[in-house]
Amino acid sequence: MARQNIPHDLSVFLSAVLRSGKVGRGGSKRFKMVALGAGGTLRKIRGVEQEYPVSASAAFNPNLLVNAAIQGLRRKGFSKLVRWDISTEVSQESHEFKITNSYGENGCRIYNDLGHLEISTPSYNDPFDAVAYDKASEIYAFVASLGASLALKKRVLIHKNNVANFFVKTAGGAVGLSGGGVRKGVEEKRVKTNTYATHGNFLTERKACKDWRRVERALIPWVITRIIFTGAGDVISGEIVKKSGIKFVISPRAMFVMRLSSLSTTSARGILNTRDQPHASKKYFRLHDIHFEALRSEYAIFLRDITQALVIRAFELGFLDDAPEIEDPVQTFKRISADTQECEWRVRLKNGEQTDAVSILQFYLAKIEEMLSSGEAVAAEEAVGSGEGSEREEEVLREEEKWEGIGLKAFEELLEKFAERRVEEFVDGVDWVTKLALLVNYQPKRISEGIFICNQFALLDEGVLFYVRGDGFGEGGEGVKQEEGFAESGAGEGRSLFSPRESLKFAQRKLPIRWSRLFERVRYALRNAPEDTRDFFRAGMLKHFNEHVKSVSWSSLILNEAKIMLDEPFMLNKSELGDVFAASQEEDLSGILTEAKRLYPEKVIF
Amino acid sequence: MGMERSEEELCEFASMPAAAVAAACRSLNGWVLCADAEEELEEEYEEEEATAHAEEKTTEGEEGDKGFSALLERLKEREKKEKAVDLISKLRGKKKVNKKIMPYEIYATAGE
Repeated sequence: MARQNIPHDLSVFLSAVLRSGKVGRGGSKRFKMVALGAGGTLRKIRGVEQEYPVSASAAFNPNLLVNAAIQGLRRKGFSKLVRWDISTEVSQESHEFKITNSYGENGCRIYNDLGHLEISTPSYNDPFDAVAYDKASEIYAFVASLGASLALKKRVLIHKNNVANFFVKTAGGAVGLSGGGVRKGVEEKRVKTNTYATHGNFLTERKACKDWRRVERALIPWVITRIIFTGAGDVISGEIVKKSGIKFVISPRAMFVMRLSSLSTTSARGILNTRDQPHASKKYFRLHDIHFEALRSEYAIFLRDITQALVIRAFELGFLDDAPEIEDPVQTFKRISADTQECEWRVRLKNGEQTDAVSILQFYLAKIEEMLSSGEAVAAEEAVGSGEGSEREEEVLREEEKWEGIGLKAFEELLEKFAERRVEEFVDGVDWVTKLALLVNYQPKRISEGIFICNQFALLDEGVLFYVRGDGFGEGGEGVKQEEGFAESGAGEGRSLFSPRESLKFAQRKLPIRWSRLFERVRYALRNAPEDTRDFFRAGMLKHFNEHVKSVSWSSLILNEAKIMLDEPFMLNKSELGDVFAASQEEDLSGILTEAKRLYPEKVIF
Repeated sequence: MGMERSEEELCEFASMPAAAVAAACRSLNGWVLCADAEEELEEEYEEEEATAHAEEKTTEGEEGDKGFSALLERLKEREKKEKAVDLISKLRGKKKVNKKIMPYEIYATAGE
């Protein structure tokens, strides 16, 4: 169906690739990398920053609420105060200098950013951890809301979304927030929407980003069109689309974009962000994607992570230099986002041809497959196969292949369904579809009800504890029975309209992964950093030798006794150091530092 | 505020004139929840109906192939209009709101 809309050039290209059997047939040779640590970015190190709005029934200053939430986390033993060293992170926005920091036991950074609770996950490098650490972040936020409620003696709520809708003064006078209270029985019609963000970070080669026009050419069509499966969905003020009332959109973030690229994230936002803070050696560039969205579904989080990693790798290797050029990307972004009615998702290219978002995503899928079976990749594979790669490298490669295989197959299936507009099959899997289904079936009579439904979906309440208590969620039919047992055990689902169990069942149907492992991994992720990245060392030191820590940043750790430059993404991971924090004692510090210096003599001053 | 529409309300919904139902569906689908928008949609629908009648009159007076291609065009248009309400109808019954809707308000400034 959508194939008819593919423009000539794209159509010819896709036909050729499909004939060659490279798209999603599973038989193509997988890309293998040779150097795991030295090359740096083939294995994508990544993480997500989530801004959580903190609300209370009483009118508190937002900063007071956020600080109470952060202190609540500390009181519950999830985090500690830390001096965040900004000397290695040249900030490009003035407000960042004023931020006070704490860090979580798992290596996340927790801070008050412009009146929101911001939690930046530690860095990880596979899509399963993308889900686990996102869920751990949700649990941190929920615990923070409990702590703030206790401290302020008022119910404090934390949501995971990207917009706050409220009513503003009209000529009549009074203000009613979400139509909730001030003027009973009279609902204000003028809605205002504030936005805050979810940022995705992927470490990339600096040389690939040197020419920013190349970055825009390769990635803007991706960011614009991926929202059909990564959009969080929400209602926004109708005024944004020149209407009154509210409008449901696929991606609320898209509606606030004004230009192709921008440095600022708070005003005149771009589709791409040019912030240059690698948080690593200068040979890297951290692609700071300000249009990740506040997702709750495991399926969507997993698919967004693995496709994003593969797209960025394809970009680095030059496979996306001929990406389709979109006419007026900013308006196209908004138009796709607002098209929840016909789902045509039209895209007009600069050459005048018409296509749609699905076809653009099929281009990216085809290019990823081309990359994975390219000559360069085969050469690398042969190098590993010839014994040049170590046993550990091969193990990691197998693991990476597994995620790529699962991710690409799921991506291809999604695109096939979306090409036929069988979007309804993604309820519980794609967030915007789930929210729209809730709205459609509830049939709200008032504007405020539409807002409440989206807010209630985003609410982080005791339902998030499913991810730590849900042991027994097995494979196949077994899961249902054990889930019932879980419900009987007293772990409530909460009031959130997001159902973790329905969402996980969807992921289980679509992604062949032992999802029962997720609970164990989330429990691990609450208290530990991923084993494969530099965060293993950083978080371990903060956790076990906190009293020795003078300051920390993503790329440095200053102790009373030593300075460690953590500017390589995989340095000092568990594979290199061994399980040194398992039973660490005070006297072990010296041994750990000695080993770190042996591995990285130029980066460890001890 | 109830969890779902009452049976009476649903009956009322079902007995609405076809044009109004179509407009309501499109309104829900696009999620433009305001009186003005609904009025606009109804007006739009009336305009579309009028255009369709005008097209019918024109094609009646024309010959063979031309009439046939016009018919195909109309069918395409009709198909497009049906597709326009496709997602909303497919989503019906796909997800129940099985919890009480609470007036959750978010007090948040713009950020990043």
